[in-house]
This record gives sequence, C-alpha cells and structure tokens, in this order.
Amino acid sequence: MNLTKKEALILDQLVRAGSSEMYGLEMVKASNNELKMGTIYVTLARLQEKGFVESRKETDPQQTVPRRLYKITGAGQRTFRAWESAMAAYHAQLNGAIA
Amino acid sequence: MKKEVDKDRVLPANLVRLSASLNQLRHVVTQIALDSKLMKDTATQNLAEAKEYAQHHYLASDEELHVAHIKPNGFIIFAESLEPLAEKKAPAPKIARVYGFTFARVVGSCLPRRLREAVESQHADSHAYYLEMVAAKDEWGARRVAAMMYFWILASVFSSAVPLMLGMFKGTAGASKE
Repeated sequence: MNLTKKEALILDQLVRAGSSEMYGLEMVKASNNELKMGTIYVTLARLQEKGFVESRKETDPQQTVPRRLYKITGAGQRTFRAWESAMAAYHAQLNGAIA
Repeated sequence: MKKEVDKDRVLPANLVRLSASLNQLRHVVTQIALDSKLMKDTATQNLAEAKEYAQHHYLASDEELHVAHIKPNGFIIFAESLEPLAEKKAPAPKIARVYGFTFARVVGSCLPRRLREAVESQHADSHAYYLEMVAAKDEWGARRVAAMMYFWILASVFSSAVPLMLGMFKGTAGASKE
C-alpha cells in the first residue's frame, strides 16, 4: 500500500469518476495544476503495472490520434480507501500531538 | 515468275490509310489531353479547398501548405482525400498537421512497451489539447501547446528513466552484498 502523492491524486480522481473512464488530460485539468502533463502518464503506467488501474485505447474514428482511457480496478479502489483512512489516522495523531 | 507491282496505284492507297491512322491517333491524343486537364482541374480545386481548411482549422502556414502536396511527411491526408479525384461528390480532403507524431514514435521505439504506451497516450492527449485550442481559436495557446508537446514527451521519458536507473543501482548494490 505504498502510494505516492501523485498516485493518490490520480486514484482519487478515478474513484470520483466511478465506473466511467478518464483520459490523462482530463485528470490534469481537474487537478488544479497538481498533476503535470509531463509526469502523469508515467505515473499512470506505474499504477497500471501495480494493477490499480486498467486502460484501453479509444476507438472513436473522429480522433486523429487515439487516446488512452483509464479506469480504476477493484484493487485500486481498496488500496486508495485504505491509504485514505491511514492518512486520516496519521493526521489525527499529528494534530493530537501538536495540541 | 515475278509479279509486277503498279507503284502508281499502291502509293496513293497507302497514303490514304496512313492519313486515316494519323487522324485516329490525333483524336486519341486530344481525348487524353482533355481527360488529364479535367483531372488536373479537379485535383487543383480539391487541394485549394484542403489548403483553405488547413489554414482555417489548423493554423497551417503558407510554407507548410506549399509543401503539403509534394512532401506529405508530417501531414496526414485523411482517407476521404484518397477517393477518386474525378468525382466531385467526394467530400473535401482535410490536411491536419500532427505535431510531434514522428518524434513520439521515434522516442517510443527506444523504450520498453509499458513506457512506449505512456509516451503514445501522452502525445495523443497533447494533440487533443492542441485541437481544443485550435477549436477555441486561441492561436497562441495552440502554438504554445504545439511547442510544449516535445518537452512533455521528453519529460515523460526522463521521469520514467529515473526510477529505472535507480532500480538498476539498487540491483547492483544488492548483488555486491551477496
């Protein structure tokens, strides 16, 4: 369950998208400049290798260059939920220690 | 016994036949010339339409359009432009400049499959972004995206190469301990 900040951001967006698919540019636009065009695709490839996302090539004939659509897997959803709760517990502990 | 040939009769007959053949040949040549002129006119018209379309939708420069029909490298001539030129019913051909296509292919060919897919999808999205800018008639935005596309591809390659290199170093360290 070792997720980097960028991986968590991507998984967060894919969880929010639910069963629908997203492409990289859509995620970059939705992230308020937290994700960059130069790095998101490598991160997505890494997540795919880990089995947290799955992808397929777009089949729209209108597209000159077919894009790749990404979708979260069950393992990805479970990992993200676990990471989210772990981070929440960590922040709560940190706030308790400071207070 | 040798047969006598009347030269005065044979020559005019041959001349008549030759003249008829020449007439026929002239007719064929004229028809070919007319056909080729018609084809040329239609092709010129289609190319003019395509250039206007490319200028309007893809901000293609005059130099790019000048070489478009003789140097197709870097230009995608869509399938409909390959329809028979003589048929005027066919839709006007579109010429789109796909920035970074060759670059992405060349860079991708040097990478493992997983990273090649990443570079290809990166280029596809960048191109979609470029087309969005063009559709919004943001000329400078489109130019910026077209220029940044190469940088993004290189950034993808380097950001994928760093973990690979680190992994190699880790592997070497582990091996030396054993």
